[in-house]
Amino acid sequence: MRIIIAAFGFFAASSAVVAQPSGVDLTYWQDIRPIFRKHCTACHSARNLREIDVSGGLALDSFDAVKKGAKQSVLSPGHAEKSALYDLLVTKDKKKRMPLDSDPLSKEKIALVKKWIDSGAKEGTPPVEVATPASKKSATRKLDVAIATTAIPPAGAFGVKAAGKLDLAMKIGPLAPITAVAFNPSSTLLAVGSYGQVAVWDLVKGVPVKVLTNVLGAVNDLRFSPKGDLLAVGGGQPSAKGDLRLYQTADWKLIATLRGHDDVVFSLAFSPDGARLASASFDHSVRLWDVKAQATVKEYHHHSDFVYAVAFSPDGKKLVSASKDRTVQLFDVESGKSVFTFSGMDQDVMAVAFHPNGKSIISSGFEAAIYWWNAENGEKIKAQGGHGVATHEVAFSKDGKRVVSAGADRTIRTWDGTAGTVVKIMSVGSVTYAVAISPDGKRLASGSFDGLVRIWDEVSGRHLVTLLAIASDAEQPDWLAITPEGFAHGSDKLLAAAQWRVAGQAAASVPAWALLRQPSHVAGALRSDILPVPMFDKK
Amino acid sequence: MQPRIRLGLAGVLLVLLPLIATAQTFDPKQGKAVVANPPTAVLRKLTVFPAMMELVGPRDEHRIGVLGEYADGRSWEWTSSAKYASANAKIAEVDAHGIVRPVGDGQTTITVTAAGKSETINVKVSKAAADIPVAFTREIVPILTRAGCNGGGCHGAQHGRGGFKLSLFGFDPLFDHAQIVQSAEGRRVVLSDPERSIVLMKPALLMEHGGGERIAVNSREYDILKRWLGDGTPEPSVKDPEAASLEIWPARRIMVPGEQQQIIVKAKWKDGKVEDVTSTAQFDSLNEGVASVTPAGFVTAKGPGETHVMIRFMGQATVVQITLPYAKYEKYPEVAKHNFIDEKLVAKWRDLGLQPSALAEDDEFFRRMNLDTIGTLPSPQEVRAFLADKSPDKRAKAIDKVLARPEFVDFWAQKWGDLLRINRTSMNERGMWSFHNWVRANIRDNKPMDEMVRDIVTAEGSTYTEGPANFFMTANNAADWAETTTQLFLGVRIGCAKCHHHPFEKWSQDDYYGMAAFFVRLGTKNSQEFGLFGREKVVYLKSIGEQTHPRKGGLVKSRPLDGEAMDDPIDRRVKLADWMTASDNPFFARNIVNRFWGYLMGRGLVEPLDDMRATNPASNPELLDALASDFVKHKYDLKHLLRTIMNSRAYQLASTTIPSNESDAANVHYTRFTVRRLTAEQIADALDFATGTREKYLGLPLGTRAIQLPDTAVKSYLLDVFGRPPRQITCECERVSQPNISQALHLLNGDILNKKIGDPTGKIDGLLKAKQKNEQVVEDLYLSTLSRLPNQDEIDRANRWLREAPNTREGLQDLLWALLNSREFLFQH
Repeated sequence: MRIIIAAFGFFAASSAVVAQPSGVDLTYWQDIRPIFRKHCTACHSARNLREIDVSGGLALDSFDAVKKGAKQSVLSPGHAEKSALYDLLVTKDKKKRMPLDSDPLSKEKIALVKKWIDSGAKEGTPPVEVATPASKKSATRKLDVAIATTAIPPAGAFGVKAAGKLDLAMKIGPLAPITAVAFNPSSTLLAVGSYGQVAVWDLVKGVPVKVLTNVLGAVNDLRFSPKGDLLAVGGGQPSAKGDLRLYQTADWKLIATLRGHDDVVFSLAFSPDGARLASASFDHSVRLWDVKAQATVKEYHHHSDFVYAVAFSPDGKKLVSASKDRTVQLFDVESGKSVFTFSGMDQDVMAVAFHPNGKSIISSGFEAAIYWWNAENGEKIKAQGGHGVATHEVAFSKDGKRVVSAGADRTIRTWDGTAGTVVKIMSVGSVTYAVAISPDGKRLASGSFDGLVRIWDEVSGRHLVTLLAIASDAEQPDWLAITPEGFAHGSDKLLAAAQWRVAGQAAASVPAWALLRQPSHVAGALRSDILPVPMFDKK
Repeated sequence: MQPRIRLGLAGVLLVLLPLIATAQTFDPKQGKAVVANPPTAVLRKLTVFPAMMELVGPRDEHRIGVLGEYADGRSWEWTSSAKYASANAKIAEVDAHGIVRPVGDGQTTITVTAAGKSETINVKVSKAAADIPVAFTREIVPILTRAGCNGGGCHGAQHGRGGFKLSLFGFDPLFDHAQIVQSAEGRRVVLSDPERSIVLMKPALLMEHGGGERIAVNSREYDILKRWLGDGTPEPSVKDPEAASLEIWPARRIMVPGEQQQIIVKAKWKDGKVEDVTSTAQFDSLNEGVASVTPAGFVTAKGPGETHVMIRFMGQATVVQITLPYAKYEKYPEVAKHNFIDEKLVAKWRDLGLQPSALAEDDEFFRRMNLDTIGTLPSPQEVRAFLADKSPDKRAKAIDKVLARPEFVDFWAQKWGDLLRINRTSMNERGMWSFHNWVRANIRDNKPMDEMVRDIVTAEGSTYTEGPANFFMTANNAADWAETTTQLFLGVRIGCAKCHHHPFEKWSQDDYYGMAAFFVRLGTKNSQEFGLFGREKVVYLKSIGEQTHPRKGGLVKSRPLDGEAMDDPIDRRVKLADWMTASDNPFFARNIVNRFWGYLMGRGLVEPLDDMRATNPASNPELLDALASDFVKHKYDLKHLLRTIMNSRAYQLASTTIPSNESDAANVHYTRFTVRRLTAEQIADALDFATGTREKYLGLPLGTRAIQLPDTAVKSYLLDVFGRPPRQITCECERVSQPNISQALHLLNGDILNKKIGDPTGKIDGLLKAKQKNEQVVEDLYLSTLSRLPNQDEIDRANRWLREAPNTREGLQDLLWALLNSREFLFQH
C-alpha cells in the first residue's frame, strides 16, 4: 500500500510539468480530438475512408467513427492495452507504428490516449456547428471598390475642375467573389451566391428581395427547381464537410439541410421533373437526393478526384459529371453504371452541360478548348473555342441554340449551340467563375472574382447593369445596382457612403446623386432599354 | 589530443564561471553536453552588424549581430547576450534579440552594449505608418518557401499535393497566386474573413493538413498571410522586382565545438531595396557533423572540420563558411613551399590545424608523375636512371621531359574525347575520326585552351572536314547545346533551370534560355555533296530564329550567365566565345584548372569537378583563384598548368597519413597525395607493359594502346569492367572509379591475365631466354609493375618462392601474378 501511495505521490509531483487536461473526465471531443487532428486525421478521416491505402478504412475524425473502427474494432473502452488504437501508437514494429513514417507521439500524448481509453473512452460534447455569419466584419481595413462608368463629365461638373471618367468608389472591399448565379424559371429572379450568402434579385425592379445568410462557407452552386418553388444552395467547409440547403422561394424559409458530403458541394442539378437533385462534391462523389424525402437516394463514385460539375440529361435518365481527374463521366441514374468515360484531357475538367436535345455534351476546364461529345456513341465530336485559359462554367440556352461560358480570361462568351463557333465575347474585367443564361433567352448573368454580378443582353452582348449586395448587421442589406451610363439605385446607407469621382477626384455628392439616382433607368436597363446619356451640368 | 583537453577544461570553467554566457551542444560520443565558453583573452574589437540600417514601411525589421574578436584569434558572438537600447522609442524599437522595428518616421540610434564595450548604429525610419499592401512576390512567396509549402515533396511536386499545386520553390508567383486565390473558385481563401481561409487554417493546423503544422497561429508569417488576405490578395506582376543578391553576416567563422552563431541574411532586390530576410531564408548545413543549423539560421558548431551553411532566398543562394580546427598549434611549424600552390594550401592547413605528410620517395613520385602525365608506366631503365640522378632539380627536369613525350598526346586526347563525347554512334565513324584527330593535333601543338574551345564552340561546316563541328552532333537543339557547353566549358549545370529555377543556385529560366539563344540559329543538315554515300552532316548558320521563353512568353535575348545581353549579326556564338575566353570570365579558367587539378590530385577543389556553384564552394577558394589567374596569365597553356601542379610540393607528398592529418579522412585539404585506382586504360596498358604483351583492339593496328583508342565503341571487356565511360552524357561522373567484384575476379582468375602472363612471347619467357639471374629477373618484375626496386625482404621471399616452385617459369609467373594483383600495382599513390 505504501508503495502505491509513493508512486502516486511521484505522479502528482511530476504532473506539474506535464500539461494536464482541464476536465475531470477525459473525453474524445475535448481531449483526444485535438491530438488526432494534429497527428492522425489528415489520413484517418471520413472523407478518406474510400481510399483504403490512405485511411486503412479507419476514420478518427468523429467519436462515432472511432467507435465503429475499421474492419475490426479498434477501441475497447476501459482497456487501452486491448485497443488497437493504443497498441498502434506504442508498438515497436516501425512498419506498423502510427503515425506512419514519422516520429511517435510524445509520451504525454500517448499517456493521455491511454488514460482516456482506460477511463471508459467517453465522448464529451461535440462542438456546436454554426453557419458562417456572413456579416462578420473583417478586422482588416476596407479597400476601395470602384465601379467604372462610360460617362465622361465635362470639366466643372460636380465641382471637379478636370474632365474625365466618372466612377463610383465605396470602402467595402475586398468583396467576396461571386461563385454562382442562377435565374428562376420565369426569368424574373436571379440568385447570386458568394461566401456565406445568397442574394436574390428582382430583375424587374432591380432590387434585392432577399439575402440569405444562414449558409455554410462559400456558395459554390445554386439551382432553382424546374417549377421555381425551391432554391438549392450548395457549399460547405473546404476539406471538412459539404453543405446543401433547400429554401422555398415563397417565403425564403430554409426547409432542409442535406448532409452527407465530406467536402464542399460544388455543383447541383435538378432532374427535369424536379423530383431529384444531384450534387457533385470535392469528396470525389456525386449524390442523388430525393427532394421530397430530403434524403440521399444514391451515391456515385466514378471519379478519383474533386467533382466540379454535374448535369442531368433532358430525359432525366442519365447524369454527366466532370472532375479534376481529367475525365467526364456519363452514367445511368438508376443503375449508377457508367455509360461512357470521356477522356483525353491533360488538365482538370471543370464544367459540363447537356445539350437540350440530349444528343451531345460539352465540357471544358483548364484545358482551354470546349469539347463536344456525342452522348449516344461516346465519341469526341470536336474541340474548339474556349477561353485560352480556364473555363469555369458552361451552359446551354433552353432552346439549345446558344452556349454560354465563363472564363479565367475575364470574359464570358456565347457560342453557336450547333456549330460551336463564337458569337459574342463580353469583357467582364475580372476572372469569371459563374455564368447563366435566362430561360427566356434574353439575358446573361456573370459572377466574378471582383464580387460583382453583371447582367448582359444576350443578343447584342451589351452590358446592362452591375449588381452588388452585401449582408449587413442591419435589417436591410447594403446593395447597389448601377448601369454603365452611371444611373444607379441602391440602399440608402451604401449610397450615402459611396463617393462619385471624376477623373479620380471626389465629386460633390448632392448634385451627382440628384442626376444619377434613377431607379427607373436601372429597371429600364434590365429590360434592355437604350438609356439616355446623363446630362451633366457644367457648373 | 588537444581539443579533448580543452573540452575538459571548458567543463571546469563552466562550474567556476556560471554567469558567463555559455553555449552548449550534445556530444553523442561523450553522452553529455559539449559546452563552449567565451575566450578568456583580451577583447580586441567589438563588431556590430550592420553599421547602419534603413527601415522602410510598417512591416520592415532588421536584425543586429554582435561579434567580439579576441587577442588569441578567437571570436565570440554576443548577439543574444548584448544589451540594446533605442535612443528614441518613438522612431524605432529594439527587442532583447537585437531585432529593430519601426515606430515612427525619423532618425535615431541604437546602442549595443556587450563585453563591456558599446557601439551605436544609425537607424533611419520612413513610411512607418504607411498603408502598404502586402506584396505577394516579396512577402508571401518567401513565407511559403520557408514553410516548405512549395518544396518538391509537397505542393511543389509536379502534380501538387491534395489538389493544390504551387510552382517549385515559388519561381512562378503569377501561377502561385492564381492557384491560391482563384483555383477551385477561391476555395482556399475567404477574403471577407481571412482567418477562415484554408490557406491559413491548414498550415496552422487549425484544420487537418497532411503536411502538419508549418506556420504557427499568430506568428509573424501567419499575420502577414492574414494581412495579405485582408488586403484583398493583391496580385503579383511580371514586373515585380526579383532578389538580386544576398548579403550574409558573418561571411565565415572559426569556431570551437559547442559554440553558436546566428546568421543574418539581407537580400538586395533589383529595385534597390535592402531587406532583412533572416526569418524567411532557408538554411542547410552541408556537413552536419561539423556544424548544424536550425531553420532560423542558428548555427551550432559540432566537430572538427570545415563545412558551409547554405543559405537560399528567392532564387539566390550563397554560403557561410564554418571552420572548426582539427587541432590548435601555439606556433604552426614551418612547412617548405615549392610554389604558390603550397602557399595557399599551407594557409588553409594553418587555419585547420593540419600538417602535411612527408615528401614522397623518388620512385613513388616518378611512377605517379608518369601515370598522371602520359598514362604510362615508366620503363625499368627510366626508373633506374631517375633514381641514379643526384641533381637537386631532377624532379622538375623529369616533369619537363615527360610533358614532351608523344604519349602525352594520346593520354590527354583521350581525356578530351571523354569530355567532348567523341563517339561513332552520334558522329558516325568518319566524323569521329575527324574530331579525334583534330583534338590530337590541338594537344600535340599545345594549342591554348581558349583557342581550342573557341574553335569548338564556333565550329561550322562539314563534320568530315571540320573536326570540331562534330561537337554539335551530340545533340540537335539549342537548349541541349547550351547545356552541354555550359557544363563542359564553364563547369555549371544549368539543366534544372530548363523547367524551373535551379533549387540551389541563382540560375533561372531567364539564364537558361539566355544561353540557349546563342545556339538558336544553328542547324544541321545532310551534306549536298556527300550526304548520299557518306552520311556526312553539315553544321550551318541560319539567318533567322529566336529563343522564346516557355513560361513568360516573348523572345529571350542571347545573354551569358551573369553577363549582359549580346548579339551578333552573323553568329552569336562568336560573342559567346569572346565572353567565355575573356581574361576576366569568372567561369572558364576556373573550370579548366579545377578539372585538371582534380585529375592530378585525385579530388577537385570543387567536387564534383563539373558542378561549380556558389553553394558548392571550393575547399580552398584562394588556391582555385590563384590557379585560374596563373592559367590566364600563361595564355591558357595546359602544359604550364600541369607543370605548375606537378612541381608543387603538395603533388609530391607521400600518400600515407600522419597523426596530424589523418582526421581529414577524405583528404579534402591535400595534406597528402590521394590514393586512387588506375583508370581502365592505364590498367590495360600497364598489364600489357608488365607482361610484355600487346592487346589487339578490333579494327585498329596491332600495337595500338588503350590510351590511343579513339572512342569507346572499340570492344574491350577489361576496359568496360574498369569503368571506361560510354561517352553518352556530359558528366565527369560517367567514368566510374568504384571497385566491383568483376574487377577483382577478372584479375584473380580471368583468362586474359593468365594468357598474358603465360604468353610464350611475353615477359617471363623473354627474361628466361635472356638467362638472367633470378635476382635480376625479380628486380625487373618489380620495376615493370610497381616501378620500384624490391626491398630485401621482398627479394628473400621471392627467392624462397622460386626455389620451392616446380620450375622457374611457374615460379616467376606466380610472382608476376601476385604483383599484378597487388594494390600497389592497381593504385596510383
